Amino acid sequence: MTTAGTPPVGHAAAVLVAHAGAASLLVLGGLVLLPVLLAMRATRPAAAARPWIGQGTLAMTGDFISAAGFLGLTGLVALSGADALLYTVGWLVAWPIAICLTAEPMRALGRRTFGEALALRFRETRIRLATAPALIVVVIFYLAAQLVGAGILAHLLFGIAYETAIVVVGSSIAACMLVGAVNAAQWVQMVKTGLLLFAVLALALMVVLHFSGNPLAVLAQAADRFGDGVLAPSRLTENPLEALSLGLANAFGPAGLPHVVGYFTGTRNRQVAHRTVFFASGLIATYYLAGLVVGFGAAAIAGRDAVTALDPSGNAAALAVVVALTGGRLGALSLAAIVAIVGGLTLSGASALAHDLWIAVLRHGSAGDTAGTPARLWVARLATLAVVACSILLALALRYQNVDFLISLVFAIGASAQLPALLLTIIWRGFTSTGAVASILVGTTASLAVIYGSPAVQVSVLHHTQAWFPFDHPTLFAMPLALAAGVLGSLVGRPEPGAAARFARIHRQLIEDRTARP
Amino acid sequence: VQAHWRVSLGIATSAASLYAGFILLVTFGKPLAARVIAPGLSVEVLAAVMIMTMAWLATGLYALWSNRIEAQTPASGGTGYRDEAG
Repeated sequence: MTTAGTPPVGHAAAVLVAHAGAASLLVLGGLVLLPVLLAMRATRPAAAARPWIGQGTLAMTGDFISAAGFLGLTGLVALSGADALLYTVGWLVAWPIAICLTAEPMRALGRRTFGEALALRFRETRIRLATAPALIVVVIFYLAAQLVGAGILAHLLFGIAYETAIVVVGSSIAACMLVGAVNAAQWVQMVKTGLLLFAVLALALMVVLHFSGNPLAVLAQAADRFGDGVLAPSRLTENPLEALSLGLANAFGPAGLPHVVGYFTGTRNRQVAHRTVFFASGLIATYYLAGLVVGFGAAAIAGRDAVTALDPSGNAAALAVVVALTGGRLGALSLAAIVAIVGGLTLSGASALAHDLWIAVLRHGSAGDTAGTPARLWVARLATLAVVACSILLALALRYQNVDFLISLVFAIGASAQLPALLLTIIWRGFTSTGAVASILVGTTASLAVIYGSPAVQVSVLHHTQAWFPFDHPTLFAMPLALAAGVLGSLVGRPEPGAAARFARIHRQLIEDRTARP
Repeated sequence: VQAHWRVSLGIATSAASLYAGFILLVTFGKPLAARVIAPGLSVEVLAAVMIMTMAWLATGLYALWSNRIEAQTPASGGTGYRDEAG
């Protein structure tokens, strides 16, 4: 994940391109046209009078999983073996934590975004100014992760340059937004989830059937080929502090990023929300377990050399396993799976923009009023274009990073810049707007500073010999700093007029939600 | 609400400590984590799958508990109209 230099396009990829021919047109359709068409058709809101619980489950699952996450996971497993479990276990553990700590109160308060929740207590402009950078950084990193995945797949499948692929996919995401994906954010999520679950389960099935239906045989074969180290902790856990920092980000990041449980916080009916979250986290567990099987399958069937030959980051491991299983002659199932993944990449990017950026700009920190004035619509459009442009640049710079590492940085920022302020807003009476601003700014700055000074950026991207900071993952340092800044700022600053009354109202609302019948 | 926060924090803390335990196992207990108990199954893989399942069950437990408590709690305000609606 930290290799630099130009990778050789592997023999396997050449085979794939040669045989893909007409099929590649289909993949291109999945990558660019399908999402745009979907977005154009689906301009009606998906809120039916009595929505089927499966819809909510799919939407909630889609809020959390992304196509890039799958590509990165399979790559990590294929190249580092069981180390990748540090990610998947964290993402599952994050669910009860996020629901209990922040999502349940936010649902009760009827707030969906970080900015909206803070606006419950603080009305000052500087709060809005402080929340914006954290939000934008999160969206840019997340989008860049999807773009890296899409760029690698498109590059390997069509032989077009990685850079061109990134720009094409980025533009397609922007187009989705501009033609109205935002009006169908939930619908887009559901389609995305369906595509991804289908793709991952299909690939896992192909792998397991190759080993006559025994998932453990996949792992055993991988261990036979590359030693028992495949099933044991290795590189990622060499430094306990680094592992802890990554763990903190994975476990607490989602709690600080309300949109990853956006469907939950947007559902007013508690009972339905609770049932949905149970089903959704079950689907997510299945998704990751299947991803692990595909990752071990990539090591067992294709081998690590084949994976790194396609791309040294490991992000193409899922492709490597398809090539190895089919010898480059894509069957209907594997082709459909690849189309589903590339479509999912574009939709993941578009839905992140819709959820996090567009709605936040239009709502401007206050609940309701999603229609927005014409002026705000223009702001949202310009912001979308600017964010996509930044993500494209970032994706170009971070080409050889494993995308799961990029996603863990998103969670790191969520855990450091947003979670402390969000928690203190809900539970601490003495929290003031000065504390909130201090906490957000310190959390954002500290995370970004550590990421910039980390070996991943200094050594692998900028090619310096040494990093300023010995760690890749910022959460262990940034999160306590942000919490301390929030407390200190509150002790120093004066409370905003009316803040106490608003805190009391928050608590009344929480109690009423508990005791009122649905 | 107090009881609700207690249970919420309890579930969140136990999930977090399971994960912390897993991190400790893979950082300080490498020999144990690496032990292969069956072909293709090491202690680390087994622990990971178990914790993932338990995290899912914890979410389910919370959902079940939360829904059951709320079903038992009498409507506040005593307007009566809400009871009829439910």
